[in-house]
Amino acid sequence: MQQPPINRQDRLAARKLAESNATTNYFLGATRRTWMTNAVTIPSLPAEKGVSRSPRGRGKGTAVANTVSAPAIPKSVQDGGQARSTATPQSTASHTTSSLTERLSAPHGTTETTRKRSLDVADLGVNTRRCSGSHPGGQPSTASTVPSAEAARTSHPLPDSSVLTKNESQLVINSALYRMNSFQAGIVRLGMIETHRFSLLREACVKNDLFYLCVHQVFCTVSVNPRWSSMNGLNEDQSAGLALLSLILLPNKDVSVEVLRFFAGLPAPIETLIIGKVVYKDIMGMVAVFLQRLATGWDVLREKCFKRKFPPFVEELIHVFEVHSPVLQRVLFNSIHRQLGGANNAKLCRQGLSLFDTNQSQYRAQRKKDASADPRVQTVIPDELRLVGERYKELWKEANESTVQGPLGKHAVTFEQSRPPLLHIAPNEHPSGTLPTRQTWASVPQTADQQQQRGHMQWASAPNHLTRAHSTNDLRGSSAFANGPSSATRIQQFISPRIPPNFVLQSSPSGADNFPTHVAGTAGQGPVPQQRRARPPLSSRPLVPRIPTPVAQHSYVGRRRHLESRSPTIHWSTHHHSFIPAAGHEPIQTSVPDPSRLALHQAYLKSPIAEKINGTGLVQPDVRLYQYLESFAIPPQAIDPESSLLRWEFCTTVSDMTKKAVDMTASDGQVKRQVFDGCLLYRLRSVEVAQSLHAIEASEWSVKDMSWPPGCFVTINDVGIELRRKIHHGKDLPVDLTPHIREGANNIMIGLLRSQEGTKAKRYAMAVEIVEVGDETRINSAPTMLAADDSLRSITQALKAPYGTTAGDDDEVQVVDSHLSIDLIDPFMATIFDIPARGNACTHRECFDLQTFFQTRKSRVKDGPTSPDEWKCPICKQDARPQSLMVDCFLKAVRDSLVTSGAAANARAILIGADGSWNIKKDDDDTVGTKEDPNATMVDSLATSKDTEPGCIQRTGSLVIAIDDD
Amino acid sequence: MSLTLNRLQEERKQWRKDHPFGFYAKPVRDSKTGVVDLKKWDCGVPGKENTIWAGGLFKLDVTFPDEYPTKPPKCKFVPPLFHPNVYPSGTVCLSILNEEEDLLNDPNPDSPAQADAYNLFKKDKPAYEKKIRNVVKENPAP
Repeated sequence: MQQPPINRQDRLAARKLAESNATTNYFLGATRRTWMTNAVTIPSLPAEKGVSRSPRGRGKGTAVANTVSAPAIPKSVQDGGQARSTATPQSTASHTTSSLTERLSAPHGTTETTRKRSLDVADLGVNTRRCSGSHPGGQPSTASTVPSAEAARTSHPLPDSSVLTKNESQLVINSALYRMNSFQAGIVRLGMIETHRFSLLREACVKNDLFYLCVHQVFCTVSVNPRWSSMNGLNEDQSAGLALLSLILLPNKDVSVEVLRFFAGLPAPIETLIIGKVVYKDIMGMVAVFLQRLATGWDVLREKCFKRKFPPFVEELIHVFEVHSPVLQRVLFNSIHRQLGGANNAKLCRQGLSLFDTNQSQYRAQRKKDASADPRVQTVIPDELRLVGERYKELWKEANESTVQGPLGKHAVTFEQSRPPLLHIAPNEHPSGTLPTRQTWASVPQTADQQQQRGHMQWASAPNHLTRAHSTNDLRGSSAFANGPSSATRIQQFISPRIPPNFVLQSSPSGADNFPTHVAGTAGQGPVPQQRRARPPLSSRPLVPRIPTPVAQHSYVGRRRHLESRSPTIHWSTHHHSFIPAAGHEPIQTSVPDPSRLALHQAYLKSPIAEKINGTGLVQPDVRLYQYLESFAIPPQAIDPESSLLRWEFCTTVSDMTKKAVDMTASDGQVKRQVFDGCLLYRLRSVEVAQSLHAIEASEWSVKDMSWPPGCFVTINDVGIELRRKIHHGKDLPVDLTPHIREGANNIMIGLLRSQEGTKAKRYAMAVEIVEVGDETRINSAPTMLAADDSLRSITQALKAPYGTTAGDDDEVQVVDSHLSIDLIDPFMATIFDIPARGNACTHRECFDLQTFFQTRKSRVKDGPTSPDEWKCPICKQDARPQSLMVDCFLKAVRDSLVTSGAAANARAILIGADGSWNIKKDDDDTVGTKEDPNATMVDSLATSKDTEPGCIQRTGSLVIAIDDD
Repeated sequence: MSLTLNRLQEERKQWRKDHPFGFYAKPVRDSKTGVVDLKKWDCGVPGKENTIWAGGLFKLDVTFPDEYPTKPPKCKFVPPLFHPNVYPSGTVCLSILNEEEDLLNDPNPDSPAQADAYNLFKKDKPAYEKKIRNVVKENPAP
């Protein structure tokens, strides 16, 4: 194996960097993540070898790297990469070299998968040593990056990936598609850029192009969270690459925040993917390489294309940028293609793109034939490129001839003139005229030369100043060298162990741990860290490809724990979850839940629309029906926090069944529930109760809010019931059991998931309620009558009590007023009630008007029966179901007397004495008269002084009308 | 429906009997037919003395729904009021109206309803106060 020459200084620099890396590895997350930290060595392009490519090229470090990599390039790149890789261990950790060379000298004919696995084995061996700490300093770390760097490159999912990675990438892509579909379904309008981005993403999904998904995700993630790049150790080059992407894909700041956030989480939260998806990790490494190369190579390539007057084609793009994404290749091509004139000429634009597509499919076909080869393009065959280039130029000429662009002879001039400054993501053909253009300079007519110059400046400035910064960093150059061309390594190594390929939902039945359930995938090479330690030294281990295990047998949770204790960095990973939410995961509650949007998936759980019928089955839409909790099939029961399964049984009689509401399916498929006076409905409700509670009264129960325990599963008569919860419906909703009730024994099973904290914090009580439907007559006869004498007696007793009983002896209690005041105003009418009523459970003596209360009960559906949960006292919110109401006959008598005397209109409260006498209470706020409003003074003095005289009221009334209304 | 009208009739009666100084509230009378629509009221809120709002009178349209009193009325300043808690359309949240007099002078910065007034109120108090004085000049008390 050929070893590129390395001088001593470089070796020292590499070593120093390796050490610093090792340190950061142990304190991962403190400032940076290593997997993207190290600059990737950029081999100079064959075409301009020795030419300084960018400011970066002039840096010392890079110069060194160039001397190393440049000789390697003309050979197959694969060899070149390996040569560079091997160089590092040799200089820093020579003991690994033998095994690496052994690996590298393995027969070329082995399939990629085999090689990849063997590489992983090598990787792990190295890792073991690092973990065990037997090698202080950075040597093992440096060495270990190399093999999986290779792995990253070889295992990428393009044409020749293994079946396993194919499955995995398919899952990721399916997830991306699913997410896009559901997201786009919810979005009414997308902007132009957003639409294009979506179309590119969809194209990527169709083409199985994980690389693009990954590039786009990183691109958007960094925009959403600018700290992400530093947290994950993106170097300046890679950031510059991202900045360039924002010129090519158009900037993220023009994408709405909502969409951008969504993009950042596509195909799944990036942390999850890095941890969970072997394929994605590898691709992330490739993306890092690409970004780096884009930053350094883009300007050069663009210039070159302008000179030769045709854009880059597939092989060249892959060669220069290592861009393995067909979608991105096309975008990059199109960007330069448009600058070369495609944007100004619809025909050229179209034809150029179709030329590229042909080129791309040819390339793919070629790759398929030669599946075992390295996916990277080692060299661009000049002849082939020239051939495509000639074809492109022909297209260009044709296109410009057909328009009035000018004669062939002035080719060069028109060429430059036709170059617009636009970079556009437009992946598809767009007549240039229809595209909103982002003009970066004024379109004032200028000479071709001027325009060209300006164009160049425009183009050159951004990337240059972005890339210039790091040329000052000498060490970086050697760091690139020391760590080989891979960042993928880093992810694999430090972010996570390998995870099984088949989706395994690991639940924690005991609830004993808080680790999120993970959907995990493995390429079969997922060893447990403990196993790593036990591995024999790398060199003595046979390189046998491992057989993938269909399902991970190890305890993944254990593995994760171990990992977390080892590297504190990844604790953030637990905040992000895989496609399936983890155990114990609580979804975020939106501030204003919108059931009409969020609960559509449970629309079928709605109770059928009620149809009001009379005793003979005739529909009576005009009859007002009320629903209220009548009694219980299973009375409220506090649930033992320890129990996890409740079995309840209750019986219904024949007469119950005749009263049960019946659901009828109409000919059009619509289900209607026929309700009538006296019919019964059944429902299951659950409420939160106090810790100490063992029995709950019906009156207390009826006013409590619904609340399902978390992790609650219900069956009735062995039919599973879905619960409607707050997250989707805005509040927890009761379960309608009516259609499931049968004559005789009915059984209900309630399973409860008991997690460690969740259950003990809250206690619940549940009951099966019987809800009765009643008409006006029924509910009017439901309230009890509180006799006038009884009512008055309780008042006078309350007034006398302090004197006669123990309270009188208490010095601290002094009754200053021997009168009791009772308000007579109904809260709805704002006038005196007609039939005074209050709830049995009410502690106040004030009443509301019975009929008004009934009339104001609302129904869920217009003109439907009123909601059963509407029965709360308007004064104190206590139980006020029809049967819990009482009519206070004393207050009724007071009211009747006031009406007879004509004083009712002005009586707002009465005062009752201890002897049972009562009179109208005068308004407290007579202070109005002191205010400056002359009108008010006059009115009020009249009104208040002659409170009880009906005649006066009339007078004041007419007087005020004169002032106020006209 | 009759409940709504009865209730509004009663409200009107109570208002006539007593109301805070400087405020006015009266149902709208149709200019042609002369019929009073109890569900639409013209109201006025005075600026409090000794505040930047003093001397102003701000007109408010209150519309009661058929479901009143089980549903709240809609209140709207006409013309829209420059105030952090009033929406650009002039609509104002009823819960805020309960303390209307104080609210004018003491906006609730936790529930901003219009950006202009809110930003000025938060960032440049002198400019905000100057703006309010202009608003008062445009809406003088008679």
